[in-house]
Amino acid sequence: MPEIKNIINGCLKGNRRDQELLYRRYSPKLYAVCLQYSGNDEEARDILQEGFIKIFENLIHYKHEGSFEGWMRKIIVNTALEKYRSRNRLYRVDDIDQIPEPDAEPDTEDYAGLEAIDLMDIIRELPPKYRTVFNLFALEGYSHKEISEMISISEGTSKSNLSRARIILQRRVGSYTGIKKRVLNG
Amino acid sequence: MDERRANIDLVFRNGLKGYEVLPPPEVWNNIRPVVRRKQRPLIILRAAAAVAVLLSMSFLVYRLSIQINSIPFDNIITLAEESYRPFPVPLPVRESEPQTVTTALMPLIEQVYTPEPTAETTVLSGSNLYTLSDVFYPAGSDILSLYETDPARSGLRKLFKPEDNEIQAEDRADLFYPVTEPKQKTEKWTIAALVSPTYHTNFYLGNDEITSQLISYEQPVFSYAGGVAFAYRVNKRISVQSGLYYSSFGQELSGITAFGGFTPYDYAKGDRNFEVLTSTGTFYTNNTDIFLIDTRSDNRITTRYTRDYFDPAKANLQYIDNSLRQNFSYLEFPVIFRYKLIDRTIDFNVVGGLSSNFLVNNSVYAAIDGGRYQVGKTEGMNFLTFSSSVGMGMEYNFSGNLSLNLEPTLRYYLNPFNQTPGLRIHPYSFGIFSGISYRF
Repeated sequence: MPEIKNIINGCLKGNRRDQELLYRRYSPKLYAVCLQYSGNDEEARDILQEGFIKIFENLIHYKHEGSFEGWMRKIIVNTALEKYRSRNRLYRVDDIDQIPEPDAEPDTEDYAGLEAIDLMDIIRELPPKYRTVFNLFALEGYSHKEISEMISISEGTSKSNLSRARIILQRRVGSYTGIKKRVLNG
Repeated sequence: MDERRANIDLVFRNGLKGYEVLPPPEVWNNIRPVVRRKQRPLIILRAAAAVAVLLSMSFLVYRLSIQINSIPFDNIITLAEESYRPFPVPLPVRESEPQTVTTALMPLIEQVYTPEPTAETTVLSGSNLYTLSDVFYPAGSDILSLYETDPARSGLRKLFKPEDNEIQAEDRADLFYPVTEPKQKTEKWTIAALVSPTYHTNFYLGNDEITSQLISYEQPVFSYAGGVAFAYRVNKRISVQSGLYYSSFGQELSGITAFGGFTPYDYAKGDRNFEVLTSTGTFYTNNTDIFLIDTRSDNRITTRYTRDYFDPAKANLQYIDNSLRQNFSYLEFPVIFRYKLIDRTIDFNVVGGLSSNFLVNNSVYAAIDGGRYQVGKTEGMNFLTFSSSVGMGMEYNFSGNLSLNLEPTLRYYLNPFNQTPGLRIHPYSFGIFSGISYRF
């Protein structure tokens, strides 16, 4: 398997084969990121497509420092955020006051039965602004200050959105776990 | 409560870690056409070379086609038997002289003649005779049917059956001029002014990874050469040429970003802040206002101002360019031998020789808004280099002693530009010299 450095050099020279090799190697992981940030498959495809074009165009600026996959992931996430910002005003956010607190949080062991595909489905059901903040904070590791700058909201809103996202996720994870248990127990 | 909620973060983080989903195939199909090859100056040079070759070939074909079409109007025409063989027409013959038309025509058409410069040149004078092209290139190609059916073409019969009032054989001599040898040209010297865009690159056979990497980050930039040449013709085919040429070439060092305004942060006044390794040699910044960052490799720049020590963005330095230009200029004294392969309206020559090249300019700069920001100069460059060249020259004699020249030339440098160990790279170049020459 060719080294990533050679593939990058090939891409920089405009070599089609290396471009495709790079895409084939990393697109499954990056497509999962796109799905995680989008509410539907079409939007995820758009993010992946635009993100990869940016990756090829900006490859010359990659400094060979740190993880190349991390660098690409950052570009994909930024592309997803651009999409989010452009569509933000179109989204209708559920009234959080109508979402009841879960009676009891399921044990961590209960989550063990959930597969990645289930978690992905749950996360994609979140309203966009909760999903975006949750992804950036819990999965990408950004602080509320950084998130507030990235998607132009206040730090307080970021914290609030994260909190509400967690409530929804806990409830839905609980439902999934319950359903799975019932299915398994017959 | 917060701690319990934070637990859900871990569930998703761990659960989605390494998760992969194969994207639909149409995504790549949409990406592929958008991601185009990076356009480089090399492409432009190749295109220019291709256009030059195509133009010269087209011009050649055009000239040849004109010459073919104008055969009846040429000053000197010799019609051999092959010229009329494609028209095996059973033409009538005189009853009294049972000989074939071919043999009857032979004495007539094998002679060389020079027609008067009239609007339409005829084979023989007389209103009832046809033009040469009418006889040998009849419209419709079926000469026999024309001959039989078209009364207007009865003159054709007359060509082969002259009447009494037409020209007799003894009169023909007045119509033809004797064949004379073209006067030999006596000009021995030629002076020419030539200019050429050139594509310049390096030839490296080694397997050193760093050198290969250096070369991969370097792109040739627009180069040119031009000058005055003198040639002496030794004999009809061989001539020796020398002269004085000026050539300028260089390369782009991509990925090295230059910033200006560094002087206030330069704590080591007078020292050279950046050492940059290129395939042509090492250069040092002699401009303390310049700050350099290599965004492509860790092997090219040596400096105490590393990125973890100094951040040009925080210092608010002025961005200049994301690449540097390394440029060299030479004065060249060539000795070139020229052998004439074809001596016609367009001459073809084979050209080959050696050249002594003296380095007259050596600079590295960053380009900004059409201007140049001097960075330094390459160390260890040889003042004198030797190059060999081979080429194919075309020369079109368009007016008296003046000619147009087109000369694609490949040049290989016999000794490397730089004596730095490990960087003994031999450059080569390809150029198409064009210009005007005057014989005297």
